[in-house]
Amino acid sequence: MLTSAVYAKTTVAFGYLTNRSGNPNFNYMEIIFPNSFASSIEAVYDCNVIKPLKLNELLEKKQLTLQRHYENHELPQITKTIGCDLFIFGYFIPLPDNTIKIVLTLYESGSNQIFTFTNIGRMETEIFKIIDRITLVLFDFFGKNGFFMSKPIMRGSSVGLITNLNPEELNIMYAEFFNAGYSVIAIQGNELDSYYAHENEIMNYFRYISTDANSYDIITDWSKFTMTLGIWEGKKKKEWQEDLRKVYEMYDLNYKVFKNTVLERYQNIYPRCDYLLFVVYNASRTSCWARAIDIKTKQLIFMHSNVVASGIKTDLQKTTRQLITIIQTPTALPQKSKKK
Amino acid sequence: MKKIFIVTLIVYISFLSCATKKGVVARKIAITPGSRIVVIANHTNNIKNVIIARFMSKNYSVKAFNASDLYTIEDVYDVKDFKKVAYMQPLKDDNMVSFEKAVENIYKLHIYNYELSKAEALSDMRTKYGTQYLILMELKDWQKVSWARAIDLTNMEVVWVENYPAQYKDTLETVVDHFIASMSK
Repeated sequence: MLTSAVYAKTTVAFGYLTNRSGNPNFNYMEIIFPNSFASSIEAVYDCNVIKPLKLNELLEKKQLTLQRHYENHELPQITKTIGCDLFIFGYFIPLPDNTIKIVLTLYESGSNQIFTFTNIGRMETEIFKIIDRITLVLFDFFGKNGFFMSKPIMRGSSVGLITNLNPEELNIMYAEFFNAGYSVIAIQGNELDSYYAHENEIMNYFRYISTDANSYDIITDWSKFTMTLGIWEGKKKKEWQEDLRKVYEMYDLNYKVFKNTVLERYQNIYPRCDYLLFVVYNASRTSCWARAIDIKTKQLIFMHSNVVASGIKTDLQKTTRQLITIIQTPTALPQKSKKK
Repeated sequence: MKKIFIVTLIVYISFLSCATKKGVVARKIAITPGSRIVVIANHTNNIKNVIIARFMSKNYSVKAFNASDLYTIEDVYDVKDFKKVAYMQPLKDDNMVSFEKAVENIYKLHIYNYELSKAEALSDMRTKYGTQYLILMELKDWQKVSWARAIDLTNMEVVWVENYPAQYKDTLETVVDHFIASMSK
C-alpha cells in the first residue's frame, strides 16, 4: 500500500485514539498515541503524514471539527474533505487486569477498504512498548501487501483448508501441511466451485472477512441506497422490494451474527479444528492470498494478500511451502533506517 | 544436427510430462486390512464394483454406501437466484457496492454451511454404518494422475493422500492395488 508512495507520495492522516475508559487521567494518550504512530510511519516510509492537531486545523478551515469517532459510512466523505489516501483513527480502553485494549481502524479512500484490528496487551510502564506493538501491525499491513498476524499458526495445529484447488492439487497442498507437522481437517469448499455461476469469483469473496475484533472489509452505505418507488408500482413489485430489504438486512447488516452462529457449529462438528484457512491461488499456482480464522475465538488472526515463493521456477508445492513458512513465523519490526 | 534436435525434444517432452505428472504421497496413519471403510469413487457402477472388489479381496470391510444417495442436485439450493433478484433493479453506483456485498455474503454463508452439511453426512456414515474411514478416489487414464484420499471419520482428519501418475502397463486393478498398498503401510 505505502510502498507505491515512492512514486506518488501517499498522504496518511491520523485522527484521535479516543479514550473510552471514562477516566480523564488517560486523556493525554489520545494524541500521544496517534502522534507516535505517525512519527514511526514517517521514519520508515516516504509519505506525507498529517497528525491529529494539524488535521483539526485543516478541517476548521472548512468549518468542520475532527470528531473523536467516525461511523464507517462517514469515512469516504471525511477523507475526500481532507484529501488523504489513508485515514487512521481508533480508541483505547485500559482494562482491569493491567492490560490495554487498542482498536485501530485504517480506511483507504478510493478502494473503500477498511481494516480494523484489536490489540490487547500489557499496559506497559514504558509507553513506547505499546506503541511498538501497534506500529508493528501498521508496518506489516502497509509494507507487506496487507499482511496481518495476531498470532502465528504453529505446527501441531489442526487446520481446515478452504481453497480453489482441484482434488489432485488439494492432495499436493495437504501433503505439504502434513510434512510441516500440521493436521488437516476434511473441509475443502472446492466442490461448489463447479456448480454455480461465477465459480471463479466465489472463493475470492473470502478476501474480505469481517469478525468482531479484526476485520478487512468494504464499506457500504445503505443510507445512500435508493429505489424508484411510486404509485405505478404493483403489489408484486412491492413484495419483491420488501423481500430484498430482508435479504440485505440479513446478509449485510447482520451477516456477522449469522456467521458467528455458523462458526459455533464448526466448533461442535469439527472439535479438532483450530483454524479455518482460506487460501486462493492464482491460475498458474505461483502465488496465493490467504486469510485465517481462529475457530475458538471466531476472530480473523492472519491475512496475506500476495504469497509468492522465491526462485525462478515456482509451483503449487513451493507456494504452499512459502505460505506455511509465513503462517508459522512471528512477525517483527523492520529496521528504521530503511525508507520504503 | 536434426537427430540431436529430435532427441533433445523427446527428452524435453518426457521431462515436461514427468514434471506435470508428479506423484505425491503423505500419510498420518496406516489404514490396515480389517478396517471398516466406505469408498466413494466418481465412476460408473462396473468400475465401482472392480474398486470395491479389490478392497474386499484385501480383507477390508466395505460398507454398502452410494454417494449419490447423499443428495441430488435438485436438493441443492441455487444461490444464483439471489444474484438474479439483485440485478432486476437498475442500479446506481452507490447501490452497486451494497448489492454486491450482500450477495457475496450469501455465497460465503453458503460455503460455510455446505461444509457443515457435508460433515453431518460424514458423521452419519460413522454412526449409522459404523464406518471408520472414508476413502475418496478418482482413477484416470495413464496419461493423467489418479488421486485418492482417506478421512478418519472419528475426528474428521485427512489421514492419507496420494497422487499416482499411472504407468502405461497399469490396469484398473493395479492402480487400486497400488492405492491399497500405500494407505495400509
